[in-house]
Amino acid sequence: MSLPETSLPKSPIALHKALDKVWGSGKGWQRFSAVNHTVIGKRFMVTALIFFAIGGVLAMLIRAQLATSGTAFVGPEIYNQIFTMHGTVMMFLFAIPMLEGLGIYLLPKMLGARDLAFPRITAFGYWCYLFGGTIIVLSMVFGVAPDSGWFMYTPLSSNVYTPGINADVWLLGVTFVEISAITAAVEITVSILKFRAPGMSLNRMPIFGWYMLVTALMMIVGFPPLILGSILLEVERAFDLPFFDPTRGGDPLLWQHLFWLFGHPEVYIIFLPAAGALSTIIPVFAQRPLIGYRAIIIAIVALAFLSFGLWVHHMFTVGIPHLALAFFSAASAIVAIPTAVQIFAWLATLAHGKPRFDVPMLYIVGFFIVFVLGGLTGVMLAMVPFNWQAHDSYFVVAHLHYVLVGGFVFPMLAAIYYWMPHVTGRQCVHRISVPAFWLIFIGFNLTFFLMHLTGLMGMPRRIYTYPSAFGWDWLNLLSSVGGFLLTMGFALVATDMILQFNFGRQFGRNPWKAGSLEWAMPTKPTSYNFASLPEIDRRADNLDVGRIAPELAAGKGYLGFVREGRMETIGVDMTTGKLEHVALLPNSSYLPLISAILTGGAVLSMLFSLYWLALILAFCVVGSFVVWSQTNVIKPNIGLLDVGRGEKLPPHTEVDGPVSWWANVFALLANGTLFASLLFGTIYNWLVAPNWPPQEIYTPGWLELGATAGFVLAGAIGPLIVRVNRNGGPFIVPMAVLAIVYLVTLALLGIALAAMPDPRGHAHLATTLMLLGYGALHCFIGLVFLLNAAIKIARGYIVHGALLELRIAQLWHVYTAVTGIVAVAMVLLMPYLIGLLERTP
Amino acid sequence: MNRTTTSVPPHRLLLLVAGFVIWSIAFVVLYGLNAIGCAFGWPELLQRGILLFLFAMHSAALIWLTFWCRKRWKRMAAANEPVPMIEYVGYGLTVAALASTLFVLAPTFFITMCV
Ligand code: HEM
Ligand SMILES: [Cu+2]
Repeated sequence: MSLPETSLPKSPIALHKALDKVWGSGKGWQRFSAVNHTVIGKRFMVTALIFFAIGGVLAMLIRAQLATSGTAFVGPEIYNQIFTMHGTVMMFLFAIPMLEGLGIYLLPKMLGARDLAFPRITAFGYWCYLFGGTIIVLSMVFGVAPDSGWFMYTPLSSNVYTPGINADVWLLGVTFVEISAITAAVEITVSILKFRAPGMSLNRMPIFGWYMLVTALMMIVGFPPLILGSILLEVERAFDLPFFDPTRGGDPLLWQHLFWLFGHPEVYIIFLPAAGALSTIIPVFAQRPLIGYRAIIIAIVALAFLSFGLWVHHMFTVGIPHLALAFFSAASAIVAIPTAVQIFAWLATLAHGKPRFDVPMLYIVGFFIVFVLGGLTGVMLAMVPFNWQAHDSYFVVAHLHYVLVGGFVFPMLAAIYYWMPHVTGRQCVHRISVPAFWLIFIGFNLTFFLMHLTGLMGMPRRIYTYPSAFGWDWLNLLSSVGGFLLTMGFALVATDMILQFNFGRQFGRNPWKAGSLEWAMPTKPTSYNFASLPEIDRRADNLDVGRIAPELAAGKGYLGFVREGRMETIGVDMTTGKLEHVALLPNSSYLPLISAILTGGAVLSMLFSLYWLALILAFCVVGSFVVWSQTNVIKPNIGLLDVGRGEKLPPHTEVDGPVSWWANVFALLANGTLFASLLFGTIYNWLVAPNWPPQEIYTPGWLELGATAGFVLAGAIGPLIVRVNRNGGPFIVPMAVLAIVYLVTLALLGIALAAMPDPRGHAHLATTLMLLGYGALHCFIGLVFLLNAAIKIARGYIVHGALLELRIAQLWHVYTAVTGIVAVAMVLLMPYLIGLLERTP
Repeated sequence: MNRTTTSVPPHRLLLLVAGFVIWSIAFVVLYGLNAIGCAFGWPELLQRGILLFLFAMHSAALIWLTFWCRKRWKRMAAANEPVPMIEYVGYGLTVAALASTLFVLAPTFFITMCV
């Protein structure tokens, strides 16, 4: 083993000190520069729990208001804000960030890596979430909180009926948070695929890894429709472009489609990580391996797809062709099967094991009962005739809380009790954990079971008060009593956590006798996770933690040293887990915070209609990303690096598929879904919206044809740059040509947009503007890619054979070409499609 | 525990999603054509004919994929190779996609088309 002499430490303690110096995050103000996944993961979870508390307080206000009939506690305007904010906070600011935080904290530890793929992106995502969430919550203080329900239906949320900034807060704030969620999802996806311990092939991956992989991919495909919907609605509100306005060829139902195209998968996005935690925790307490590892993988991938075929079940009452209703009803019923597979796998694991009881198990039993009840009412609601009866009643409120609290809050509480010792290094003192559970369990069922009854008795959701004539009074009162028991339970859990944090009993290693890697490290965790990285030779849920941990601490695994003060971890082959490369990660930095502040500034400017300022700040954001890319650059042609145990690997910049390349593939997948949603919206309005054909039709001409040629050229030159570089030719030439092509295309599209008839007149013109604008924006970003590469060439970082940057840019150029051609083709096609409309009855 | 020594190239992962991608396409195509057919007032019989034809085509594609997976599987078993988990899971998912297609789109046979 030939290691750099200076970096070979003498003892585990010396190794620890050397690694911590490189990986640790600073104290004091330097905390704002932390990028470490353990730190950021904890921040995500703590922030999410604070938002959970805020959402909980709002829920208590709702229950206080509804406890008796005719209460004058709050009026309808405030009540609308309260329930909208409750739903919004719980879904967007609690559930999603909580699961992201759990994944960010746990995944590298479970998979045997030292950090996630893009530490600075992790930090950026956190700041975006914090700022977006703060904007949304602060709006309440100023009395301008969103008030059109958590799904923001138009026309209620449009300018006519919500003239203030209430709806803008939602649209901008939630989009801000969603973009941070997508960055986290991309990062989680590639980290799972590439940053695992050597030898951890996909079939040895801990089941939690599979769950998070599927969840992250669902986020990548599921969030863009909502982001697009929010952009369109915000543009409609701000600039009066009619996408959803039926008097001008828009359709409010388009919003519902886009929202639920996101909204239903969202439910599973929330559920899957929780289920992943259950699949991890149950075997530990059953003291046997999980039964049905492969069946579960099949089930969750199937679930991921099926959950995208259900969205219309939220819209059964809007008047959709019968056959389509039947499809969606059938899909809604069949989706219960994969969930059932998991439930049976868990029950079988428990039945065949020797279950041992502890606090997490209490919550798991609670989960089983509550979630199964929620599933049953879900299948009831999937049946169209029953749905017509129960739609928008308290039956739905009961159902959704049984699913969300059963499927997410109970498993998360199990997870918190299970992993808290990992975070704090202390074990819980049982005294108040058990009564806390019973308060939560009884309180929950009292609150929500009765809502099934009030719902069936006809009580609609979202009413701020009700007369006492209908016999709903006592059920509501009991429901409110239950709500307060529930809150007391949560307060006890919070107390329990604080006690454990300060006075918990300290323990040796692996208190639950688990078999996954996160326990094979010091607890609380060190900044670098593992002093050296393990070699995995079996399913990484059933490892001999007691044997592995000391070996790793002694530096006997891979990378058990520090090289040139750099943060290093290992990248593996996606499927087989074979050693592939050394990933060199960037250190602490204030850049993520700066970029997030700039982004937040842009969002706030839009909120206050300062569009020029927003535009300038958006340019600053793009500029800041160029700075990211120019800092922490890795020198070209490093060659093989020693990783210990007699192995040598190239750095990530010198392999074909490092995380940065894959991340761009997945980011483009998200972008592609956004684009597909835009096409869907264009066609939907044409087909379904009233007031078509438009009076003024956009007739494309040579400008569009020229732009098409530009896109075709971009698609050809992008790959050419890489080829010329590889062959040692003057690759700067095709780069310059491509820049000119982009500039010309941009100019052509700009002229076309400037000359088009007033897009406020009709949805047809508004969507045309969006399609052409989409192409133009991509040309602009393509130019930024070229500029960034040019700077790197000047600085000597891109030389012949150093292909990575150029290959990543190539992805963008080709994507721009394909979507640009499709967008222009759509615009060219539109007059013909409009002509067809004359044939409709 | 199967010791995978055989290498499994990343594109093999596409097997995990192939079946359900066909399901998704079938779903979108039938849903979309149903909407178009109803908007343009196609005669019921014509619309049902078209949809049933497309339903059959997608099911056929899935049946073919199922057999393809099975054949690979058999071949590996015959050669005494360990079946990589990806193949196993991919096969299961293809069958699941086929079943979902048949179940979810079956109403094409008998439900009234439009509002
Ligand atoms: C802490 C205990 C909770 C209580 C007592 C509670 C209570 C309620 C009530 C009474 C409503 C109906 C308001 C109305 O229609 O007028 C409601 C709506 C809602 N809740 Fe909760 N909830 C709780 C926790 C949660 C959690 C954990 C989530 C999600 C993870 C959640 C998500 C929602 C959503 C999405 C709505 C719909 C909001 C809307 O209609 O726009 N709730 N909640
Ligand atoms: Cu749904």
